[in-house]
Amino acid sequence: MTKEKVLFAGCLVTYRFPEYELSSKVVLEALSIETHTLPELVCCGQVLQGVNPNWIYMTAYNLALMEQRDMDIITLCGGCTNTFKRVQSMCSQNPQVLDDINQVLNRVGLQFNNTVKTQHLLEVLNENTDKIMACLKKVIPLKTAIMNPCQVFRPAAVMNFDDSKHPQVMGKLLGPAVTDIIPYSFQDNCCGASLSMSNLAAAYQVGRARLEELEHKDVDLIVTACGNCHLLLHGMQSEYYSGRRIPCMFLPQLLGIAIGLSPQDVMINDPHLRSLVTSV
Amino acid sequence: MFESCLKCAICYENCYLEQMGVTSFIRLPLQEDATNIWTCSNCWTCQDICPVGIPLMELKWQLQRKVEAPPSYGASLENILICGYCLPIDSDELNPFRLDDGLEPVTLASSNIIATLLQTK
Repeated sequence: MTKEKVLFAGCLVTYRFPEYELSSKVVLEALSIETHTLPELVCCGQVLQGVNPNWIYMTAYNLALMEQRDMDIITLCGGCTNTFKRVQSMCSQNPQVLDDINQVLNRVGLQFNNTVKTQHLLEVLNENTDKIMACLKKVIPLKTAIMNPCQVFRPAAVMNFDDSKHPQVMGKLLGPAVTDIIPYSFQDNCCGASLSMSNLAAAYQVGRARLEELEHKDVDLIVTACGNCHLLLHGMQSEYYSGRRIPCMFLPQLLGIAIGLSPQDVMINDPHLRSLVTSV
Repeated sequence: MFESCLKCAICYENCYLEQMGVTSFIRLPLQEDATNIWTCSNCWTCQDICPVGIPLMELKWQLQRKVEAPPSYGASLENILICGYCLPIDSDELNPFRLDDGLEPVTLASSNIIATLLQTK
């Protein structure tokens, strides 16, 4: 039997990008996949890896809470996906890690058996490609560039999804939904957003290089599938880029429009973005 | 720490930051220079491509934990200890907007739970 799903939004999407959470939820609903939010979830632990050695217990706490409700997990950011899958892999490979985790989780009344399944939104959509293609209502006339969420694909041995060096899934999902997907040289490179916490100039440099190339290629829209990529390329764009503004949209927002949902349904509130997707 | 490193530099050559002229943490295995230990965006390319399987990311995090973190990381930890999230999420403030948007409300974990998880060792 298919388990119920938790849509794990994590810190950044919960705080800043409700449109990503909502559009994911409604697109999944259109595919007959119901998702829920759970009480008392916390940060996935990604940001603490270089700061606090006990980050792993936060990751495991989330996993255990979701396992306790017998629910599987759909993540939205690369970082959350990466930490969840890596901790699960560590537990599978070394029972001592699982024992150690359970000693700590027992103190907060939880136990983890490592039976929960974690998938990023792209993996779930990928499994439902045929259903999505059958639902397509229109081809959106946009020159679109893809921003791959790198931590969904690497490390390859743990993430075990798609081509880890040259991910294909976003192109596969969006190819039939838009008129043009524009390939570009930085397509397989990290967005650089995490650098904004430690080396802002480097984050800006990475963002600027991508935008310069995409402006040169006359791209209308960048499609993202991670809160961090979206933050640097969309939220912070005006802080470091003085060229033509290139907006970003989350993949389920654009896919939602292609399967016939309205801009309101997928929370496209920005008038410019709305005009881009409704000029069909 | 890098005893098995062949100094083949394939990690360095494939670091997208170094390709763009940004000096990154990947100088560490080659030059044992930890100056740029925080300049990395966790893309995992270096570790995936290492021919002898050095766990570069884990080694990086171990070294990061021995030095002072950039202020943003301290702020993230402070937020986590208060609300469970690395950003200052206030459920009373957020939930009316979530309900308006058609999203279920967020319920924060107690700070005792977070403290137990993070301060156990």
